[in-house]
Amino acid sequence: MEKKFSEFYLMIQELFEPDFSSDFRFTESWSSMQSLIVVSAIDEHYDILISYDELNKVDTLEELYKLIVVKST
Amino acid sequence: MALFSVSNVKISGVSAALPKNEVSNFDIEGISKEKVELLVKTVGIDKRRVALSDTHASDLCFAAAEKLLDEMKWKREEIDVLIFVTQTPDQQIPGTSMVLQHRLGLSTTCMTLDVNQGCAGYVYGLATIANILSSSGLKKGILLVGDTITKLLKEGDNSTVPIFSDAGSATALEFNTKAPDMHFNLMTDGSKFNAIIARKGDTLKMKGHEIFTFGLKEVLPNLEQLLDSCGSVKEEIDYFVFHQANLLLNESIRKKLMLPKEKVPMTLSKFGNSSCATIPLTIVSELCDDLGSRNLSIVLSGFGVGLSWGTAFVNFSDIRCPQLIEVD
Repeated sequence: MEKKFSEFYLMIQELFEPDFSSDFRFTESWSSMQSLIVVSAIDEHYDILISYDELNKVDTLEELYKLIVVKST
Repeated sequence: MALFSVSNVKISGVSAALPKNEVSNFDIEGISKEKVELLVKTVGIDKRRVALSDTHASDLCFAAAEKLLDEMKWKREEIDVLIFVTQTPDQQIPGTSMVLQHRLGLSTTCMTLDVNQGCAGYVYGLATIANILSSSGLKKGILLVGDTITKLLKEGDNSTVPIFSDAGSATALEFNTKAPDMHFNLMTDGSKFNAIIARKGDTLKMKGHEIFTFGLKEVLPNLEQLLDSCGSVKEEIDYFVFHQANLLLNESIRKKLMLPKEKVPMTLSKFGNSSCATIPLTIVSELCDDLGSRNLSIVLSGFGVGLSWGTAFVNFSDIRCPQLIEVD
C-alpha cells in the first residue's frame, strides 16, 4: 500500500513539475484546471472517476489515494 | 433505446463558415502568465473566432449554405426540408429556420424545424433530417448547425471565455436508394440539465468538473455500443470526429478508446469549441481533401449540454466540400 501510494504521489508530481505542491487543498497552487488534470490522470491510471464533491472532501494526496483504493474495491 | 439505423439517405455536401474576427487566448487579462500558459496547454485552444455584435449563428449558417448550394448547383425549389440546430437563435419567436428558408430563397413548400441542441447537435440534427428524408418521400434537405455561443459569455469568466467560439455549417442530404445505412445511438440525462446552462436573460454557466467526468464516463460506451450493434470494429473506421470540447477531455477519450491520433482530427487549437458546429467544422477543415477523393467510414460523436450525447456511424462518398468560409 505504501509503495503504491508513492507511485501515485510520483504520478501527480510528474504532472505538475516544476510547480508541484503537495499541499493538496485548493489553494492558489491548485486551480480547478489542475484538479481536472488530476481527475483525468486518475481515470487513465486507475479507471476511477472522482466527482467534484468527492474531490472537495479530501485534504491531502494521501486521502485522495485512499479514496481511489476505496472506490476500486 | 434510441439506437437505430436510417436507410436510403446520402450526405452529398458539407460546408462551414467562421467569423473573420480571431482572438488569442494568450491575450486573456486578469490572470498570471503562468496560469494562462497552463490554461492554453490544458484546454488546447490557442485562438478562437468571435462573431461581431451584428453577426449571428444564422448569418454563419446562411453563408455556409449559400456556398454549398451554389457549388452543388442544387435548385432552391428542390429543397423539401430545412433544419436549423442552434442554441443561439435570432429571436425567441419565431424560429430562425423559417427566416433562413426565406433568406435562402427556398420554396414555401419546404418544411422547416428549429432544434435546440448544443454539443451533440450535429449528430441529433443528422439523425432527425435523415429520418425525415428516409421515411417521408421528401427528396432533398439541408441541415444547418451553428452557434454564436460567445454572445452568452460573461466578460472575464475564465471558465467559459477561453473555451468557446462561434461557427456555422451546412450539410446537404438527399434520398438515394444506393446510400449505405447511417447508424445512430442517441442518449439524454436531463437530471444534470444545469451542468451547462444559460437561464433566461443570464450568461452561460458551466460546471466544468461535472461535464468532464460525464464525458469520460459516457462517450466510450455509447460509441462502442453503436459499433457493436452494426457489427463494426474501430479498426475499420477511417476517422473519428469528436465534438471539440477541450484538449484534456478529448485526449482522455481518445486514449480510453485506444485510437491513434491520425484517426482523430482536431481543430481545437485554431478554432476552439464552437458548440454544435465543431463536428462539421472539423470535417471541412481537416478532411476536405480526403472527402473528395475516396469513400470514408466516419464515426461522429457529440456530447455535452443537456446533458445529451450521441454517436453516428456514416459513410461519406463523393462529397462536395467547399473551402472554409470567413464572414465579416
